[in-house]
Amino acid sequence: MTTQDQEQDPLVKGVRLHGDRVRRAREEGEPSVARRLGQIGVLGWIIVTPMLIGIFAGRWLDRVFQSGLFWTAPLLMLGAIIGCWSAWRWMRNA
Amino acid sequence: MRLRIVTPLDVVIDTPDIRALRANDATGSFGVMSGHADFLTSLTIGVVSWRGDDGSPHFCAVRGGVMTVTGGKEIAIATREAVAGDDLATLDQTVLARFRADVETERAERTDSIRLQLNAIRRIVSHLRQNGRGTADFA
Repeated sequence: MTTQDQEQDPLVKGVRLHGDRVRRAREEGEPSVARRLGQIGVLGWIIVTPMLIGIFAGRWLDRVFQSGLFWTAPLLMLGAIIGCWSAWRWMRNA
Repeated sequence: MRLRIVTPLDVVIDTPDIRALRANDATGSFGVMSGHADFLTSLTIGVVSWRGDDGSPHFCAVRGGVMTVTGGKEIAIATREAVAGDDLATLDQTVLARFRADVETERAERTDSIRLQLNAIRRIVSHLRQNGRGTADFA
């Protein structure tokens, strides 16, 4: 086993990961309640904002083309899908 | 609680009195205190940490393994490889030092075994020479 292999060994990596987590927990502590609430609020806006954008764009297109709900409904759905997808991605990063 | 960490070759840790222990399995990190229900789990590669009787922290890096809790007072961990240390910040260096020592031991063992073989061959050859050419008598 070369030095490089030893550095890449899962046991060494696992130990370092654990050490980093413990050190970070000691330095930063548990996040405050306000911060957690802020995170939850951001999550809500991430989902809602693309839906609102979808609705406004759909309304405008419908007014331009005189087409009732033809554009509003699909753009609302598209906004919801984009919102949920980006919320999921954001949650995995956090 | 009593804690034992064993590998196929060695008893790495055998402490009669610990207060609490933390370890990791596939579901994440968990803790065990005295009086825990009987319990069996498969550990992931990582660090087992516990507090001794006087509250001092101890650590042991394990390469997977099986952990059992029996009677709420006996914890046993059987693992392929375990390296103990009292300082988490330098535990990775301890593990690396152990790897290097293992490599060194293996190399020494290999040279020893080759030396043994060569000696044996030399003895056989000299024996054959003493017992006259062609008619080897090993009796």
